[in-house]
Amino acid sequence: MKLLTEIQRRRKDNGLIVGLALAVLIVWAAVSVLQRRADDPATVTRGLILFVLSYLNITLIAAVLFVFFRTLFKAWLERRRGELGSRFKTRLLVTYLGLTAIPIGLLFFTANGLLQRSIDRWFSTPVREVVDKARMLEDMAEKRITDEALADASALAAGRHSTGADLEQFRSEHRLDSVEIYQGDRRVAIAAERAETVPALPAEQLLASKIEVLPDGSHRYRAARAFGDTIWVAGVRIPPAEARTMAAIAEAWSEYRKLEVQKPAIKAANISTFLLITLAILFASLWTGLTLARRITEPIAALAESTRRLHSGDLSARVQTPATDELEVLVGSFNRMAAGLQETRDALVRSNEDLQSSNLRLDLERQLLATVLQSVTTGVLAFDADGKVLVCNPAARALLLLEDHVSMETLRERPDLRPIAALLEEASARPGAPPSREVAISAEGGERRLEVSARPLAAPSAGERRGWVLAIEDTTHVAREQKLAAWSEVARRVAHEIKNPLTPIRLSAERIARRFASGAPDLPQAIERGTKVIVEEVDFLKSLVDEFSRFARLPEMRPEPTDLPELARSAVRLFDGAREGVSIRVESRLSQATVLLDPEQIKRALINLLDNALEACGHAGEIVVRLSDRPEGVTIEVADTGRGVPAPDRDKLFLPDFTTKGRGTGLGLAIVSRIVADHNGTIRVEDNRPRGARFIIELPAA
Amino acid sequence: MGVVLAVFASAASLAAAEAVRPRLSPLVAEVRGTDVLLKFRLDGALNPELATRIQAGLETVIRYEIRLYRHNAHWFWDYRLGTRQYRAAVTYDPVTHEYVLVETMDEKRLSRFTTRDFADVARRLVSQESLFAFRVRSDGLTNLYVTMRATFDSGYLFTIIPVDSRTEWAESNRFEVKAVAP
Repeated sequence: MKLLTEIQRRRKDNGLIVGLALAVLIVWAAVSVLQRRADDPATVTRGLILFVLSYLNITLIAAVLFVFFRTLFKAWLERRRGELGSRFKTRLLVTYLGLTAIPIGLLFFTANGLLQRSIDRWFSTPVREVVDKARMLEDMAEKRITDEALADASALAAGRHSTGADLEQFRSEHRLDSVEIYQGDRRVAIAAERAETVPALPAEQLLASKIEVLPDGSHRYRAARAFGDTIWVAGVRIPPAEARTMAAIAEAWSEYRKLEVQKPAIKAANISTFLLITLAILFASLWTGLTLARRITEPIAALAESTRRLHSGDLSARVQTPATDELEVLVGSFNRMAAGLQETRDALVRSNEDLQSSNLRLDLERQLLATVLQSVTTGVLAFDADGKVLVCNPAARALLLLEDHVSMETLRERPDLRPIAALLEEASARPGAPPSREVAISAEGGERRLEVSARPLAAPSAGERRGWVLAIEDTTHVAREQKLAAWSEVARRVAHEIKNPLTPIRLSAERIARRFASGAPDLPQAIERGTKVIVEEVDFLKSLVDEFSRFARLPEMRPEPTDLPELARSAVRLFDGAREGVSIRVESRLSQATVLLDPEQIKRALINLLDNALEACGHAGEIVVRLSDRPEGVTIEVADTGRGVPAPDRDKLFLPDFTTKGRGTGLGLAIVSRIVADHNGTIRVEDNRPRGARFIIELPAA
Repeated sequence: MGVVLAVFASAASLAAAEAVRPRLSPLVAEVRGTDVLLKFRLDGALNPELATRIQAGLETVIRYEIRLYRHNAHWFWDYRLGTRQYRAAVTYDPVTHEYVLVETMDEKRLSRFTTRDFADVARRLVSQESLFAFRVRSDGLTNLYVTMRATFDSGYLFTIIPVDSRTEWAESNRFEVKAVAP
């Protein structure tokens, strides 16, 4: 609608201007024609023409002045209202007017003065004198002719000519055109070259001595003398050429006088014509300035208005005002920018709505998660990458016996929680499978065993770890049940193992008894073989009992500063030469050899591991005991090139009843695990490269 | 400022014009039967400028607008019985040295008068002794009077605006037309 109004207004303005221009053009043509006619002395309607011309000019001047002042008034009003661009518009108008008014004003005054002086020069004294003298000469000639005619009429009357012959003779002698005699108003006699061309006149007209203009251009003067009732008339005829000259002089004099009288009107017409042209040029300049200013200021004002609307939040604001050139580019850019802003805002609104929806969903999920975390018996403890606690649910506080303030330092400072801190460090250091660890906590009701699993908090992209989540399960009762089950299994195996030697013992005893009862001759041999079997089986039973005794009654840990490399070497020395094809060596990369641990227990664990490794290597292989530093402790690694440990067996490798040997109690690795756990350390088994197995013990520093 | 000056100049010009303003005096209405004849003289019109115009050969016209009223004492205005326009136009023929005066009444020619005497033509241009103006009803009318004003020639306001000179309305004596027996 606004664009339509603008276009309609411009069309109206353009129509007005075109109409005005046409009117000025028509008037200009009319003025030119009328002025030419007005300058023509022969035109009898010159006064009327000048009159019309003047009014026409005045009307047009009034119209142009009206438009001129209306335009200025509108510009003034716009400036007073403080409309955007009004100052620029006024400045442009004033500039245009100034640039135009000064030269056109100078031209107007110069041309007008020149013309006025030219008109004045027409009526200068020499010209006027010439015209008046010519007129005087013409008058004198006319008077002379009239006087001669009067003299002839007097002579005619004095001569008392009455006959036609006398009159003709008189006419011929005095070279007259006609001779007439009137009695009252009646012509009684006439003598003339062509009597039919001399009409009779009333006495009154005859006595007035009038000049007659004949059809052939000649003039006739009839002079009359009256004596009583009789009038003698002498007519003189001026030939056409002479008469025309005299008439031309008279008419020229008359025209000159007319022009002289009309001089103010001519001047007025010229002034008004110049004024009209001047005002038309000023108006054209004004209009051009106005149009240019409007073409510039209107798009700028529209831009400002649209910017204000954008600022107030109306992103649907667009500049509808037509613009040209660079302003068109600017308007287009603005509209595109506004459209872009609107699209962005719409997208943001949609995103915000989605975000709000997501937040709502997240809130619900968070509440659900919080509720779950509050209610589950599994402890959940989450850390960010800087070790700051993100989540610590009541179950975690209860299981870990934590105070209100929980941090990574809490885990590190409390000895019973250090394995958890170590677990996190291990998990951070080894980006493999997330580890889990069993931790024992001393609580009021006794020792509590916890299964702690670490899971990384991964960023949605790039797999970057942002922290860790610890899931803490109370496995005390599970361990207890496992222990019961293990012991039950142990009992079953012990019974089985005890039962196995009993059979040969019984068989040997029965064989000896039968040989003795039958008095068999080979009784001594039978006794010797039987007792040998019985002794061997009893020895086996004894060793079996000793083994279980050691497992069941592990001494209390007594940590002391120990030279760990020396300890390892002393354990290795026990196996020197045990098997020809197997080499055993110790590699120590410890920065500090002395470590706080129970040397007897650790040595026993090492012996168990070396024994297993030697068993796994068979007749050939290599066993390496590596000692190395870790961030907060030491690592003891026993690697062999034996047959390795199948993956399915690794989970139950450290259970008391598990063994892969043909004969054995299955308590070796269980004892090792127990010793390591007593040192708050961990043990795990991995594949050795290129073959074999690696048992890795990680012990804390203190 | 320019407008103010123009208004002052205009006022001054009008004031100056008022000082020498032509007027019709006297205007006498005479009744002959049912005919109303007028006697009047236009003073101040035939100034040297107008005389110069006439002698230069420019057609010079004086228009007389004549209105016949019947006075009505019981109403706001008088009843107008008729309007006539008398026109006297004079031209000068420089060849014959004659002034030609043509008189018309409502565009109908009354007379054409030729003379070489400027005083004679000037007198006839601005005065009449018994100009037939109206013929009224024969049943008699009272409280009649005639108003008249003259319009002639043109001057220039601010040197460019042509203006007509016009007299004030002149009012004649009251008269009555007696009923004429059929």
